[in-house]
Amino acid sequence: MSEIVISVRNLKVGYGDTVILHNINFDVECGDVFVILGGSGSGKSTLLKSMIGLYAPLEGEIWIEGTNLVTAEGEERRDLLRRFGVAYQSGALFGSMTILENVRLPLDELTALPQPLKELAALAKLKLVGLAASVQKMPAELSGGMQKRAAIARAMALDPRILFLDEPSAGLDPVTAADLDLLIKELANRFGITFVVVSHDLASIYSIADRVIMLDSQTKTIAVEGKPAVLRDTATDPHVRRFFRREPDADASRLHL
Amino acid sequence: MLQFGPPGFARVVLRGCLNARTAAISWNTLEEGLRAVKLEKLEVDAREMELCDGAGLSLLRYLSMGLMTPEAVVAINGLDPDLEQLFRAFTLEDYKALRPSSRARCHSLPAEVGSGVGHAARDLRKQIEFLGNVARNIIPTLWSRRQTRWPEVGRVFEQAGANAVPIVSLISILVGLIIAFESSQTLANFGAQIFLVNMIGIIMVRELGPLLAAVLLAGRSGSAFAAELGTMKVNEELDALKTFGLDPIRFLVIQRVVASILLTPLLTCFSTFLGIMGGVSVAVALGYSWSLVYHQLTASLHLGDLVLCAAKSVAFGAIVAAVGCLRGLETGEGPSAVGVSTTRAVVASIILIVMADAVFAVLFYVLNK
Repeated sequence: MSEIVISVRNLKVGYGDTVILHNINFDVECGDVFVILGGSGSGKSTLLKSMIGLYAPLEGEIWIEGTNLVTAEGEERRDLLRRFGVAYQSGALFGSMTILENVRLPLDELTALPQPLKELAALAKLKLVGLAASVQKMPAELSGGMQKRAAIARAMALDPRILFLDEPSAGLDPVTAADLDLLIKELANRFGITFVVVSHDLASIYSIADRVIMLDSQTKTIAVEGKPAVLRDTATDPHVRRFFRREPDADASRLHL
Repeated sequence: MLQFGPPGFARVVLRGCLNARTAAISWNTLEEGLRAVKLEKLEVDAREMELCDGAGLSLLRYLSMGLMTPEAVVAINGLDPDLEQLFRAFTLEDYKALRPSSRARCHSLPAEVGSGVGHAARDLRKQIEFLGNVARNIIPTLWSRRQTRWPEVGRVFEQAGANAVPIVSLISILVGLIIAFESSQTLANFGAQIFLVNMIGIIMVRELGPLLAAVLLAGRSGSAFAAELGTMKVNEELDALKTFGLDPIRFLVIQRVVASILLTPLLTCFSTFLGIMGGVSVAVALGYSWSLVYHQLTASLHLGDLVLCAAKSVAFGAIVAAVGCLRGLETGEGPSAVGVSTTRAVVASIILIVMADAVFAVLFYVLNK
């Protein structure tokens, strides 16, 4: 069994008296593509945002490479945040900067490297994601798929060992989405980067995921955990089975008349 | 570590971990060591390197492309095969392509001025067209009760009017006070102190009352209209309206213009009154009696002045709301677009207010002859 890089224990997230998720426990192994999935409103993005430190959980621990993100403060927390990269659903590229400047930004702000090396390092990342020809373009000039690739390049700027991706295939055509899946798989296999991906795109999950957890909006916790193909074939819970086989709810009328 | 062998030959031995921190240090050492000497061959020995991240790899690439030693042949030995593969994917052309091409073209001054004037003229034309469009739509919209959406008018009235009362009060009182205070000395030099109150009355009613109210309205509400409509445009809400067959001018702009036209005269009355009170308080403090103040005010102000004040305020209100909405509807793409249209709304409103004020001054002069 390989090294565990992320470990979530008894996590409870929500705001005020409203609990969105509770009793969340899972481990992510090094080099895995780990997918968090679930229906709309099941708390996938909330879980991701608490794992990257944007939301403080109500209870529980989030261990990333041996440091508890929930209790880490000051320099320790800043150091931990720099150890992983995040690519947001919309890309979240800075619209006033070129693609190269976007990817160079973390290097500019957080390293003492000389300018040519920062440019080379940023260009190398953009080349990895296949955007070497578009480095001087503004984000608005790129297509959705290219923006997501650029966002992944920016997330990788500081060579993190962990990358969090929020819905990477949302809004992309099937070919672009498949390209992006291939890129994720390649990065995981060749560079040993651990991916935590939030998604509900089944085709993409089957092709990239080493392990998945599925969140249930009814019970507000993890419904199942395992390999996607195995879950599809063996799941006993009707809701989970329907999800993995993409079957509609048999009891529900199509139109709520 | 940098070693110099026979003349024209140097060797760089890299040991341990080459990451962003160590690469920055190595860069400085290498620059100091290599810039000064003339080399024919540089050998980089990476056999003892344990770890190399993106920054380290960039340093190796920079060396291998000969950018630090322009005339030397560079050989990199002992690189891990995986890294080697990454390394090969990158050529000098890629790096050179990064250098921005001379994109900034130089224009001659007359061409710049010409294009600037042309742009300003087109902009003015667009503003006037929009005002016309609003004016054309205002009566039919108000005629049909269904289209007017009076609750929205009420909301704008409250936000842009009632909520602006404190700031308008403060500014007007202070301006009245300051003008009276500053001018009392000068008037005293000419023995014309008695006209202090006349001056305050005329200035506030004919000029500053409407102007202050309008400028504050432009800053507070014109910008808000532009930001509101701009955000709606960015969020495709305007497109949604259009696909329902609804005209954004009738649905969004008319309400704001009507509310502004209704509230600006009230705000102007308020501003004028408080400005005069500010000036009068200075006059009273300087020893004028209340009856004298009343007499001077009524002697200097005529019905025509009040009509002018009301006419100005209606026009200014319409300008501020229409320009704010126009800039909002014109909002472009990208995160800075809403900010840009807000700024343009305030700037254009203030310019148009002052221009309209000049027109009113000429009109009043001609009509009074």
